[in-house]
Amino acid sequence: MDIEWQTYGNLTNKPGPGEKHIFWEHEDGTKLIRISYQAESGAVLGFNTMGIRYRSEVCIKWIEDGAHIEQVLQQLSLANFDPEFYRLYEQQLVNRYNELEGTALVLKKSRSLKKVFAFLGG
Amino acid sequence: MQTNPSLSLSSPDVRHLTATHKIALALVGLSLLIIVNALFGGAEGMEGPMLWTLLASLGGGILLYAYAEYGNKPAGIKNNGVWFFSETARGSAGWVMGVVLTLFYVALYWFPEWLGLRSEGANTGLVALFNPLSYLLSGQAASQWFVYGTFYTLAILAMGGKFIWKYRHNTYQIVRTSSVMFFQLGFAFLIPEFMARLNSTPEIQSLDVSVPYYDFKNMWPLNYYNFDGYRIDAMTNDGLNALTHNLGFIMLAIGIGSVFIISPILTYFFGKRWYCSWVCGCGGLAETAGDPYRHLSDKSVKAWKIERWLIYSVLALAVIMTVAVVFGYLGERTDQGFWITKQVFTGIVAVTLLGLTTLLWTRPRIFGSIELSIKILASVLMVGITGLTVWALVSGSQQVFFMDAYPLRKWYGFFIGATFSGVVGVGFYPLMGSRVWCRFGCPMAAILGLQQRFFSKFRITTNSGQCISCGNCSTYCEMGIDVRAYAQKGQNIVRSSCVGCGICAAVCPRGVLKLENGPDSGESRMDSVLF
Ligand code: SF4
Ligand code: SF4
Repeated sequence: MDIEWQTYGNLTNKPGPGEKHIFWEHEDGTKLIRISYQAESGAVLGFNTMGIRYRSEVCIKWIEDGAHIEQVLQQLSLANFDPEFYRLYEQQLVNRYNELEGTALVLKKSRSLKKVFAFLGG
Repeated sequence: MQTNPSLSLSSPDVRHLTATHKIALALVGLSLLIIVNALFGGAEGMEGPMLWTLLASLGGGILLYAYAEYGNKPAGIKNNGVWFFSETARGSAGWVMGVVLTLFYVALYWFPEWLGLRSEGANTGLVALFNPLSYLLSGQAASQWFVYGTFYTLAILAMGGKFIWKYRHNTYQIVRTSSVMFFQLGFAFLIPEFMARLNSTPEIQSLDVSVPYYDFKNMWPLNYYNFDGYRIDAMTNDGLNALTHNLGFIMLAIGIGSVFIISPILTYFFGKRWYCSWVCGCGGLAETAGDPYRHLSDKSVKAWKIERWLIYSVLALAVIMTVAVVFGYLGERTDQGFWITKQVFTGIVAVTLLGLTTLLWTRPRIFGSIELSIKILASVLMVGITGLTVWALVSGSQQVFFMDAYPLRKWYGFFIGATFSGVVGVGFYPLMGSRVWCRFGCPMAAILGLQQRFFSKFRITTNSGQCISCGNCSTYCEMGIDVRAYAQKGQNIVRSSCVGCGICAAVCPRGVLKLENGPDSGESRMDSVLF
């Protein structure tokens, strides 16, 4: 089995009532990111990744704080837990969201441990 | 291939080899045949074709085997069956491999005549077989060390290729292994050969000096002979010629600079991995040729205890030996054109060792976790070495430790340099795992490990919520670290022995582990629970 799959929080296969999903899949079918959030308040509900590793502490803090999806997307790199030198795909997800929602969110690329500490501590 | 009705996830089936596997093994077999044939003098007169066939079939065989193993499967780690496969599970094939490797090292170090080295006249046998390649590179006849170097480099290149194939989904592994292959081929193999070629140019021969054989990336104390008399001589030979003089001086400067400046800085930022699993030749062989055996390392607490006593004893020996040799050598030197004198050297030793002793007792935040008895032992050693060196200087003796430096150096070379790092270190791959030397004996690893443990940003962080306690990480840690124990508790892994190979992170099916260089606040690295 070569699948790595992580889930944090609540996620259903189809968006439940009042829920929205933002979804990106790699064209070779080996990687995906899906985030569910409340349509109205924008609070994130759950994360789902395949072939990409996310840091549980960061995702859980977002979910517990009810962080807004747009804020989460801009900071998404903080959650990335892939080994060094890996290609990162957060930008693709943000682009996707910008396309769908007509927004112009900009991804903060840094995923250094220092930033993560600052985020978790603050 | 019949199917196994068992529902067991870890199929205990005997492995079935495909036709490609068999062709690959036949190629490797052919190369062995050529080696044996050459040992008995069968290659005489046709060294050229024999040698090229040997290198091509060995390298090609290994790569073809890798293709058969991983080529047709999706990317992702395939360690299936390693515990059931004779070669990698201390079965009979593993033992045969261990004995053959051990014998090769015994011959190499103590009985090179078995390999065809002749004290008079031209070499024969296996050594002579390598003449064509040696003439091509350095313009000189091959020695047993050239044979060894070629096999070593070929092993790192071909097995490195196999390694990259196996871990091709993991960029960290690809980059790291390419680096190791580059350093072995360039720095350890080609550059020294080309430098030897300089020696055979008429200009340099006419001056009666020689460019030392020097591998720039090999540092003291791994390279324990770096500061030996003859090396310092060769390096600073102010014989007449500006070229060799400068070259020698640059090499000496690099040697000293890399131990005292470059290495601490890099280790501070990246941990010892920058050397142990990115640059070092011993580490390179362990990571590539040793990869099939990595799970054989002992994970017990007892092994960890033995490891700590052994490796730091070797470090202490290496320091004592080097101090004695360099001091003895400087005492003998008569010409004064050289800035390192006995006085300067004693000063360096005293400042370094006494400085470390002071730090040990005045920085509880860093060293607080060390047991009192160990602290005392280390201090006594360091103060003792300093005291004896100063005493030798004052009393005008040539001998720091009341004995000649030469036998000390000889015994160190015999036990540590040859027996431990070569015979046991590589010969026992199939029995004790791939990093026996790096884990139990290497004084360089000991120094880097201390730095990594106490002054470094490096640690492995854990995403503990995801751990399913499968134990893959501990199994494939070649340094015998019980990674799972940390992962289950959500602790950072800050261990002096971790070489940062990243395999634990690679084999973890849940993405729990990540190698990171983070802010160096002592607490954040050491805290039992990080987040
Ligand atoms: S702990 Fe992980 S990175 Fe460190 S040596 Fe073991 S397997 Fe390699
Ligand atoms: S490999 Fe990963 S999931 Fe398995 S025990 Fe180690 S950290 Fe836990």
